[in-house]
Amino acid sequence: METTIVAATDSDFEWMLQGNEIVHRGLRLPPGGIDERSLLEHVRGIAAKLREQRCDGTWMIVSSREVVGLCGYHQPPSAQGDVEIGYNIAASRERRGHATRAVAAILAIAENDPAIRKVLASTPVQNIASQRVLERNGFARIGERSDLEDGELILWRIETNSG
Amino acid sequence: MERWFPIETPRLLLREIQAEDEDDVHEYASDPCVSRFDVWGPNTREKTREVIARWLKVHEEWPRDETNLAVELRHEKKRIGSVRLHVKDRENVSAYIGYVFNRDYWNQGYATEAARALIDSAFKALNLHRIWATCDTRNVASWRVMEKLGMRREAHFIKDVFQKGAWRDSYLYAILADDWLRAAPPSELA
Repeated sequence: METTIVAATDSDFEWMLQGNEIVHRGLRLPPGGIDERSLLEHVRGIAAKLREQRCDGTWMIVSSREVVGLCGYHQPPSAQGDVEIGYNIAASRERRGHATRAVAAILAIAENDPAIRKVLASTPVQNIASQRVLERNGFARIGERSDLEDGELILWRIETNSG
Repeated sequence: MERWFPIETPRLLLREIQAEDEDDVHEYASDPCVSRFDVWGPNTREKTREVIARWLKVHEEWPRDETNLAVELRHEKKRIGSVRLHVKDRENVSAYIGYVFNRDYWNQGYATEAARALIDSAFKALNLHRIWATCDTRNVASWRVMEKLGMRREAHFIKDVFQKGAWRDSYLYAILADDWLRAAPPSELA
């Protein structure tokens, strides 16, 4: 199965939120949508900030012309070149390797980005599937952290070639 | 036929690309912002090398249909972008142009200055009838340049280009030699 990532524009978010058009830029939505409105709104806000500074950084995860999830940076890379990534797959499209391939695609972009030296991620301790995504992509566990909102988190890191 | 470049403008030198331009080219070709509205990019170092090698190969021929010129800031000797003219249709004496610039040098009129010089030289030296260009409709900075040059928006294509994973709309802008030479008579530019 092929999975690609497509830079998400604001009009893409409008479509994902409203879903008025069935097909938008040749893409469809999965049954049940991608996620809760609140999450889409949240990611849309992040995307707008990234676009201002970076032009890119939020992507739709696409397979067979369907948007099966979202992924991207949480913030622009820090001055030291650290960037944290996140990813999310539609409930109806989980467990097919989409997240693993999407993260690989982000890493390929980060490798060639002189502003990025290290890619970071955090996963809830109970989310084994998410941890496997990072393991498969060569991330190393670097520690743990507990967060009031997210609970116990495992922290991950991988260095890029330019790092 | 005589070579119609290098071309000098008040701030810029448009000259043939060289292998030594690689670092400067890669600086903008690897920037995701620069190629955001293009089918290509962002480039890996290998890709940039490959593209330059292809240009150098094309440039072994003379006369040639495809010309890629490095845009150099005259006072800094920095290569800040490139412009291209491609004679696509000899029968109708038509060519398309394209340009790309390092993000650190945007919004200072360099693209307009370079493209104006390119169009002017091409109309005069190659006896072209028409020059056209296309861009992503969201690429406002790009089509503003075309409007400043007096090019006319002749078409809005709907979802005509599959770009970076999805379909995009394009504008087509064009200008005819008659219009160009009337608006900017040779004496004025000499």
